[in-house]
Amino acid sequence: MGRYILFRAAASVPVLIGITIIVFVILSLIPGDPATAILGSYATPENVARLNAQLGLDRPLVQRYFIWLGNLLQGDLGRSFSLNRPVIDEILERFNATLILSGLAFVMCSVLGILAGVISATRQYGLADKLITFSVLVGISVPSFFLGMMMILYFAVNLRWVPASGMYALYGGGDLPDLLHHLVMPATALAVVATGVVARMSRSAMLEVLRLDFIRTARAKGVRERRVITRHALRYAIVSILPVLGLQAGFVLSGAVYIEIVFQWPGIGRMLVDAILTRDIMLVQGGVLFVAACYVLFNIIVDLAQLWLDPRLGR
Amino acid sequence: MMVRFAKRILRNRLAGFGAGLLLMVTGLCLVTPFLGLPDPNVISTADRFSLPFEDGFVLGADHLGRDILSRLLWGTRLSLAVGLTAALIAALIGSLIGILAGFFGGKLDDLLMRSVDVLMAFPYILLALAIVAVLGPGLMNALIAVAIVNIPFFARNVRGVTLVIARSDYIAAARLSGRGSISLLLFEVVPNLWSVIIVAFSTTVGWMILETAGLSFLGLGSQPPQSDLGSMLGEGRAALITNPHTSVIPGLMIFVIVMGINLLGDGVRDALDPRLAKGTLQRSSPVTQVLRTGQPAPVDTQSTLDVAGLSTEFRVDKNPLRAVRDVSFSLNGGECLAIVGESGSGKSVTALSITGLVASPPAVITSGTVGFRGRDLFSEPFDVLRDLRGRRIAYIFQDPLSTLHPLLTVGAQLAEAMVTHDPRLTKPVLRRRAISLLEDVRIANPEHIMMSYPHALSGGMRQRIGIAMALANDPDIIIADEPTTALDVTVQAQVLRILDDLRRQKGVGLIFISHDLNVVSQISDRIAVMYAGQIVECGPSRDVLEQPAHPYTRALLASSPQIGAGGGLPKPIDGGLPRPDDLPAGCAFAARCEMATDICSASAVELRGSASREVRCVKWEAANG
Amino acid sequence: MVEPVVKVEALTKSFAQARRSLLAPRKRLHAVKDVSVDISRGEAFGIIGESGCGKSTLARMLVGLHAPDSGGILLGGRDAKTMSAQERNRIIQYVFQDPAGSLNPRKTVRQILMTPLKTLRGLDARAAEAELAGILDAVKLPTEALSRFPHEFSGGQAQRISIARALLARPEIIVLDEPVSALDVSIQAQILALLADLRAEFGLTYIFISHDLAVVEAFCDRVAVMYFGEVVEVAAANSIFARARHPYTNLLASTVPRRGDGIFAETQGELPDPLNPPQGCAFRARCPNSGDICMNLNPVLHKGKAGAHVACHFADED
Repeated sequence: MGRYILFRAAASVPVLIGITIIVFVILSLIPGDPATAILGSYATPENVARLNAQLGLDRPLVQRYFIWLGNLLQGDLGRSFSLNRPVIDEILERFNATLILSGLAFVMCSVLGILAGVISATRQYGLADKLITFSVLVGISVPSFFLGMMMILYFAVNLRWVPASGMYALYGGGDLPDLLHHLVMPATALAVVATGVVARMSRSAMLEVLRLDFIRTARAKGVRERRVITRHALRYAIVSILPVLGLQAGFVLSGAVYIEIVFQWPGIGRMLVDAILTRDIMLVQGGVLFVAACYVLFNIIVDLAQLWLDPRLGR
Repeated sequence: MMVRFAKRILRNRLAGFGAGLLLMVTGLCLVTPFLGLPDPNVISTADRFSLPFEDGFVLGADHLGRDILSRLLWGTRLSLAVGLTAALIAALIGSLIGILAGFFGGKLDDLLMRSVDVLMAFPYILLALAIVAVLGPGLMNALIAVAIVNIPFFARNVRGVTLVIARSDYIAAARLSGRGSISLLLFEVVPNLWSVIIVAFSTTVGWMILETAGLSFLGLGSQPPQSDLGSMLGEGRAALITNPHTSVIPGLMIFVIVMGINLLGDGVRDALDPRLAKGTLQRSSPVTQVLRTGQPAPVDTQSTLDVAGLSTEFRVDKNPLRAVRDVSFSLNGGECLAIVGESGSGKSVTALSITGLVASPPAVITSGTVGFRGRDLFSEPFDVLRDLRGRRIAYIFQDPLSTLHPLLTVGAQLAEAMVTHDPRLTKPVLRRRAISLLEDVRIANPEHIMMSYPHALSGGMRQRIGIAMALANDPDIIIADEPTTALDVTVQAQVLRILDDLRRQKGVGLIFISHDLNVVSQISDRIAVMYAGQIVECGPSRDVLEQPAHPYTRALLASSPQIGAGGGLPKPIDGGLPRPDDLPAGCAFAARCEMATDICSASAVELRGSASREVRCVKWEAANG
Repeated sequence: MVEPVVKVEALTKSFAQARRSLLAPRKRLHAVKDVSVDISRGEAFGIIGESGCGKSTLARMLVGLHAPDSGGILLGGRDAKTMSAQERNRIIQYVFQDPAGSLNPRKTVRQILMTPLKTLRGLDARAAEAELAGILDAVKLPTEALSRFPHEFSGGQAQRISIARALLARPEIIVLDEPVSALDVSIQAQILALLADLRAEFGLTYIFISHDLAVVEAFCDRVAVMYFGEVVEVAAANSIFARARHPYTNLLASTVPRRGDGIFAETQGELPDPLNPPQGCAFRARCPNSGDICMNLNPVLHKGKAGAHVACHFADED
């Protein structure tokens, strides 16, 4: 097991390097001169040249990459000119908010999705199955940003159950109940699509498993049907659902960008969109890199969970 | 071909509904320029936020007083065009990468798939954002970003399928027929990929339309004055609370389009995916459906197991497949009855029907009784039957790799067999008993094997575990369905030896299902020969093998070679099995029988004879009756 | 003795296994080890063994579906290495075990059968069409079969199509890889009879791979027995099982069920782990008469008394 963890971690090094290359190359391709962007269009050519030298922008691309990578490994992601603070500080602050939002959404979509899928599969063509299948279809077809807006209209404006935006109340908030109060609606809006996808996959995975020979063996042993479903079928289906969950984590993180905009959640997605619109390259670069690295890490965990569940792997 | 395909999609009513929605929307889009709508970009501040059906605006006006209906239709055109184009680009490039990587493999595969892995390592929107950041906001750039982001999905899917196809026998065969690599790829591999690509396309195109709309919503896609559905929604958001119609209308439009595409996409997937097409993705119930007409006959109380008049059919199409027809036999402790027949003879379905294990739907038991110690199992509630399964009547299946649970240890599976029927058993007791069961089937190091998973064991070992599991509760009857067919001869002999010893020592009644007369001859006391769902001959093994009475038994014996027999090639039986959904009225074997005359096909032939020898043959009846 | 039409010399093939960890060495699975056989023109040469013995790998190397690690194959006296794939497949063809799996599901039978006619023999449409009619007659399929798709055929019929495809290349040799194992006995006998007829009609040499002793005994002239990647015995089919010289052949012959006999089985005994092959003779752990020499020295195939070849240290002593 220990050896496999190492193996898996080592295997993700090339992916991480690939990510840094892509991020670096893409953002070096951006037309326009960062120095001019920073100094404004009235800057003198000398000032621009000096700043370029200071930023190392006058050197060849490969050399710049390694300098950048070196800084990166020391935790230095550069400085955001629009916010005038180190990128890493801003990211860590923002990422916290994103993590809370997408973390809850991810848990919701995993638990509810699998539950719905299992119920739907075991009651195939029954009323529950039809209801679930229909809701899932609606869920995966509605844009999350539109759903978020409709939820604001109904739950915040009409019913006044929850606040329409933000993470904490401006005055007197800041504790956990306040956070949850603000969190529940955006997290739900974010979870809907992913729940639909997970439910679909779980349903078909369960149906497929229930046709396999070892299920017949369990029944031939006289095992109770409830136990056949949980211990024999679900146990096996989880192995094929797990990679889907890994993918959904990416979708949840992506959807968070929209949700953060709609609900004015102070997360990293909103930061990125703002940074693109203000052309704050360092911030975009740092943000993309950081989130991608976290996602890679998460997928390592998913793979290890897979290994733990399926003894046939890694042997 | 196309028409049939379309019909298959539209058989799914929801897919038809989706197709209808899409047809309507695209129809509207096509005629938009001819509808005489106001210019979507004309600003008229006086009409700001006009409500629907107010001031001549059918759907109202937006924050700049522009006609929403006109903007909606023009925006839909744009969204559809951009989303579809992005999907086509992604499908084209992604499939190409997948095909090349999967077919040529090696270094090229490594290079391409590693790159795809890196792309997949980004949550997709980050990559899209990064691309838009480079190219700058704009609808064209959003299109490119969405296309690139979706390439990995196609590449991976197509590569996986290509790999399977490239390794298949038919590709090897085409290679041996003289095809070179390029011709193999174009003429043998690609034709098999279309359905996968189309399914992948139809299930993602909705998603990609959503994505482009999303980028526009963020202000990174279409730029004013041009606007698609996403940017309309984005602009409407500012006035969400005061004038919700400006955002609800474009939002609903996106929803309708994506929903329509998803419904249709599901239909396409169901029509193209062979697994779904055959209806195999149907949940099987824990017990076979029993639909007997009339009052079942009382069961025989003399023997341990008494099967009488059993018929099982599969209801898939209009004509049911009649797999088992009027099968009767009985069995006592310590006895071994072999049921022999070729594939499609109904022997396995007979075995599984005894405790209702045939997958249902589509299977239905239409008549007959299974009497166990005087009780008709089909009349008992399910819990009684379930309790008998594994405790009094146990099964051994053919392929122990697929019939043992791959994720549970051997020990856990053995323990479960016991604890299911006696929940009071404690762990140490279970462990002790499991070890002694493994010793019974001559496994040398039971402690070690208990902790192993099935995949780590050899076929022979796995089948011994299958036997140990069947023995766990000291059953009265063991039904072994082709238990040695998947094994090599030397291992087959070991397993036969174990089975034979155990049934003699423990006095278990053994039903041994096999296609192999030679195997059966070594272990059974009696043999029942099945053909086309019926028992055609039944009697003591030696008699049946040495003086076969039914022409089919004789033909079967002549066609099964055995070593040391001399005499050259086995003698074939001409023709093939009758179709189970179109069985003849008379003798099912008549068409292949050398002795057949007109009376054979005239009417149904009964199984006749004494208890020691029963034969279903008109000729035999005439000679011996 | 006539010049052999197939001469296999010291053929060896191993497959690289996936690494178990970064540092572990890549293990190799030795599928075929140093196999040499001669097959004469016109004979039906059987290769028998249990699963994993390397018989299919050997067969695939003969037609060029696998490349050997070392050793040589002479086809009609020519080194196979010097031939192009097409040249080779005009001499030697192959019939797969799984009849349905070896036919492309998206092609009609006509398209499938046209391929060798066009690519290997370069026939024009009219000549090819004439060949098709003839070949269907030879394998006893109706002409309507041409416009059908593979899934419309039963296993036996699909195998006839496969055989027809192999024949259309006009080969001298056909490798039959378990051609009847997936079929029911009554159909199996039909295909065996067909193959026997075709052999006489076209003057073919067969290499018949099987795990079924009875079929091989009935169908073949000579038989090679393989165990754990090696040929352990070669002898005439009508005597090899009745008078087994190698203890493994003997084990096979006595465990195969025969009507009227009781069960004979070893108490234990399985194949060695192919990733950790034993020293010396691979069969010694299961062998009733193994001695010290078997522990250290792997016996080589040598000519025994009655013209048979055996790889056993004790084969000629009794």
